[in-house]
Amino acid sequence: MMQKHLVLPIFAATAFALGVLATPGSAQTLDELKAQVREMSKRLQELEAKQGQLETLTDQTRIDSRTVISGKQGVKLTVSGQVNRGLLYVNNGDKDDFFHVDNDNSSTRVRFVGTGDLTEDITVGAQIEVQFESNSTAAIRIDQDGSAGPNNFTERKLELYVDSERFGRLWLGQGDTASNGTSEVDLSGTSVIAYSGIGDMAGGIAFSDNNVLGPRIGQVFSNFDGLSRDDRIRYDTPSFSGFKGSVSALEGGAVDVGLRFSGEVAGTKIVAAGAWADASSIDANNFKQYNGSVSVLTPLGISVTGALGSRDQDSGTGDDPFFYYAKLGYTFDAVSFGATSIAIDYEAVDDLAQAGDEAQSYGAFVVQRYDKIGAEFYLGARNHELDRSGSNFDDILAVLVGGKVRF
Amino acid sequence: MTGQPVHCFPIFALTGIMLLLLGACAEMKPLEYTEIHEIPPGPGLLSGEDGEYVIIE
Repeated sequence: MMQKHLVLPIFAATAFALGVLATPGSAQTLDELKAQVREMSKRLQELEAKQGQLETLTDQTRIDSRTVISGKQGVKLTVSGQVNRGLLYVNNGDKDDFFHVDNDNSSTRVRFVGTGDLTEDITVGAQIEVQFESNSTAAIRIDQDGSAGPNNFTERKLELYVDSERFGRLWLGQGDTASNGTSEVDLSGTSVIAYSGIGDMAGGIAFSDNNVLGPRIGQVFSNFDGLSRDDRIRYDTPSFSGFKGSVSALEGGAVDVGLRFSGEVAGTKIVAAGAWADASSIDANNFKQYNGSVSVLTPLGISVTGALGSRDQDSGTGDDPFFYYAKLGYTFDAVSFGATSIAIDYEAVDDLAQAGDEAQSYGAFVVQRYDKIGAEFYLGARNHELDRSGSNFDDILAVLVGGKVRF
Repeated sequence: MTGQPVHCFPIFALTGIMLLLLGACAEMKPLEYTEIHEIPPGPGLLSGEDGEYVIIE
């Protein structure tokens, strides 16, 4: 205790003073001394109480008071998520409108991730990730009167995994298949508003031929990005010189294989992916497909991204559907609080919805990051064209402005 | 765009071989890449530097 070494001398001196002065002639002085002793005792008790509080506070600050403590070692449960909202303008040549949207390029979502260390090498994990897209950009219609659904949480990931640095990772549950994301590698910094998935910006909007509605953007554009997310078992190999292989088997019997690469040489970042998928057991068209993408980001900030894919299907529509995509981007530090990225892109898709269809899209985009708060603010415009025999569809213009904030 | 579709597999195979050669010949450093639809690592508006709330630890 702080004042312990002073307690005895104080009382001893006080007692001596009382003894010396305890005579009838000094009664008034004795009363004063007694009052002083009582006051000093009271102050000493207050000091002792504060000392105790200080010691308790020191113990508590060793553990973050916001965290629930588990009795187990090496376990962790976290919550994270993001909100991505925007304002979308669409003009299909006959009508135009504004929409308050959830940006399907990277939807509003929340996730819970739990991990536990079994050994130094093996970690077990589980995650629940769900999204809630109120008026999704991929679902809106030009003539809608209210928000497009679904008005509820939808699944993204409900899975567990076992991870070993030596043997790789095994996944089980609803989540990314081996081929998901293999058409979408992108280092341009603009993927929050634009990437090879054209339909995420305004996919529900239909082409119009003199006020007669035809196919929607999402029906004539596709980046053949594997088998998406599904209920599956998946295995990933460990990384070998930047390469990682994956294979998955889905509910219904579909299978796919993926190969990914990421590395950096001389300051240039390179990411690539490719996949093969056989969805013949779960898709009415019995399709098989190849697809892949590559993206390069140079030290100067210039990025080049490309993707392509081909699908072999039994729809009897003629030539096999095919797509290719290209993007040129530039990332620089216009402001101090985060990188600025600009890009232009182009995509062409043939024979997807109908034999002879030629769909093309091109656009320009800008994204501004605010690193400290995990935010991206974006603006972009995209034009969509569809050439179909027997029809004369107008182009569809879509302009999206918004922000994504990670909480 | 009309005509014969480009066969993708040779393009992928060639790209893969080029990446292998690049990795073998150059000093390739590992690169952590987060797929575009995933929540990337980094700070969050409310959660701070880690970008996530730790509920149990």
